[in-house]
Amino acid sequence: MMEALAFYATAALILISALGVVLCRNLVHSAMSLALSFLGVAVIYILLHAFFLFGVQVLIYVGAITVLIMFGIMLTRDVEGNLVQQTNRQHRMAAASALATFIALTYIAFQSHFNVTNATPGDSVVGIGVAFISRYVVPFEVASLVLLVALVGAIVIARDKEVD
Amino acid sequence: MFEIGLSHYLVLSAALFCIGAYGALARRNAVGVLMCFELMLNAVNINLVAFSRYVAQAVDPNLFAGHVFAALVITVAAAETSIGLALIINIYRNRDRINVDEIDLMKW
Amino acid sequence: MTTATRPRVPRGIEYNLGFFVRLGLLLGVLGGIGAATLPAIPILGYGLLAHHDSITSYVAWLFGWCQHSELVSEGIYGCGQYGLPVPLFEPAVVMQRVLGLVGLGRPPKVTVDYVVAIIASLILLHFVVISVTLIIYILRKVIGYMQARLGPMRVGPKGILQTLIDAVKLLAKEDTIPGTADKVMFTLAPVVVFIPALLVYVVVPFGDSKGFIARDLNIGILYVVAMSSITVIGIILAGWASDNKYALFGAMRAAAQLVSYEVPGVLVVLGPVIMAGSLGMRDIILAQKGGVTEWFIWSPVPLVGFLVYLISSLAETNITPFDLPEAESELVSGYNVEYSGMKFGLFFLAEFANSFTVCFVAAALFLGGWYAPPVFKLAAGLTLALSVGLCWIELPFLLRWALAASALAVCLGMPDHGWGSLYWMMLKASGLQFLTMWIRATYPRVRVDQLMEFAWKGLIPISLVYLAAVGLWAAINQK
Repeated sequence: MMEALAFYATAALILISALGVVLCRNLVHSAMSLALSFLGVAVIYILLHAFFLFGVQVLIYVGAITVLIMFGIMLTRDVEGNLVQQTNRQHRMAAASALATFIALTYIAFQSHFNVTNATPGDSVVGIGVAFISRYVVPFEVASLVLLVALVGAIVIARDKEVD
Repeated sequence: MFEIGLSHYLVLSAALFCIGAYGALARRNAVGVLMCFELMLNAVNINLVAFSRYVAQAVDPNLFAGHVFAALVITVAAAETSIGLALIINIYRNRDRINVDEIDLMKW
Repeated sequence: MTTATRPRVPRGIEYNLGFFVRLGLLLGVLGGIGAATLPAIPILGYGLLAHHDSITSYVAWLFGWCQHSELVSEGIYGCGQYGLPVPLFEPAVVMQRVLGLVGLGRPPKVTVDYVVAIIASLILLHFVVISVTLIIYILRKVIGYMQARLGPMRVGPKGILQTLIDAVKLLAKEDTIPGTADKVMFTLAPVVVFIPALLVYVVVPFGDSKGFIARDLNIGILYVVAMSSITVIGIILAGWASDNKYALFGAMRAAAQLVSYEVPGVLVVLGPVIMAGSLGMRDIILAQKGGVTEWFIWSPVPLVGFLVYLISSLAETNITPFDLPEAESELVSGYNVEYSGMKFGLFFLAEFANSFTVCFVAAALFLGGWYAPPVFKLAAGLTLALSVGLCWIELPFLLRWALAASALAVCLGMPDHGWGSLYWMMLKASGLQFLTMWIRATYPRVRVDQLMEFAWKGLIPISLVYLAAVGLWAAINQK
């Protein structure tokens, strides 16, 4: 019962802050709602017994990506200010298609039959570590390459060109 | 209703994904679009981990492929956010505005 | 010639409605928490000493959830001593009778966990607030003595009440919000900075039994690092919401500093994790069991990890020489320039709570946690005795050296399990905290470009080499 309460409260938190991200006119308020939704997703990971992913989600998403987005917002201040309209020409079509996608996805989710089990999972820290070294070592190495490329690329792209 | 199962997480993930999709399509500021893109990636992660918890555990309680996939998605999301923001900053330097409506030089 | 009237300058504390509201709130909250938990202390103490070996089993017994059986299976809490006759006026019996009268009967099992969690969080809150108060006072005295002056002396005997009066002063200040600032974000920023500083205490191991750590999470050190990274958002928010260029610059610099120094800190922390084979704090301490040579400050690679962790955590908690974000002479005190009153107090509190946490974590990771091998007992005892005997000059000679001798005797005699482990953990954390105060009093502030260069070109390569060396050593020795 407590798990159900926790799930519904966290789901409400996530969805309300996601709506805040999408609908807020002030970008900084949007970014804070985004941080809140990341925290909500981290709590969902706890409910799913994914403790390592909880730590990684808070560390990377809340701690680093939110900071990155806030820096991005501050460095690209719009000259028109905060109260300008935040939706572009196609927002009605976007809303309709998003709603249609949601209905389709939930219909498919309820119609499918999965082999569900409620067994308690093992220790995910050990499991993820072993998986990264044994079966998924190539994606692990490729991910490190991706990060290196992103690091160098971001510096090269965002560098001030007046520097000789 | 009181017993949380796989379908609850799937509906949550679908809702978050669709809110993120609406935002990515409808927001005017490019950084706003990036933020909604992060919501979509989070929804995908919830989906992966929910399947890993409820379905993969039936096969083998030590099969953590969903978690591994989610960790890789987080990694790639961080990389792409940084490159995306670098691009946005560059566009801002050149054009002084980053509304996705108005940066359409390369459209047909 | 007109005679202009002088503006009325308030002398001392301006007693107005806001002051009394804030003071009343503070006293009410603290008094409420204190009143709620203070009677619990003798009850818990009696219960612990008389019957049970942990708060959990005592609360379980209190709620009637003990089973008199040999098996302690999941969800059924075993009592410490089985089959003892229960006296008639035990608080547990009284409470069960009251609950029976009210019609509640036996509360559900899960209530025990929640009550224990609430008690644990109240204990941690008290600990943080009291320790931060003491640390601020000791910091000012220590820095004063190192600078050949006396530090706070007037408020209370030897200045002991200084921090308390500082808190009252912060309450009495007018709580300003700049006119063009974003009010919600401005108020939210100190909260976002303070709450993670408290949350980290959940995994800090104060001693060796399971009752001394609030929750021994299996991702202990990852949780510590993750909570420390939430602080950056609060600082950026503070700088942004102040609507002040200097605050924004200070916040950007602070965020750059925090984010840069997180990297070597996290990399170096992985060294003990590799050696211990687990992310949990208790497991890391248990892996340092065999003596001083087993401690991770010496074990694979001597001193590098500990020093890099210490330096990067000094930078993470904005301590001189890395206190550029909040220095008064730089950018008019950086991101907290527009903050006054208790909001500023929250930033201040968060900084000191963070610095104490970091000392606990460093003691757990590198200095063997609660273990005190005989060599260390002798060294700690001698250090304590000599520092009391030689430095505490205000006391007369005989009293001073009697205290020193008793300090030596206590250190040599204190065991390192049970309540003794609490003593050793506190001693190590306090020693490290003194070291950070010493560094604070000694080094000048680094410039922002020196700061970033040191992190990216100095500490990160060193920590990568350290991590590679530890990994190689562990792979060769198959730990």
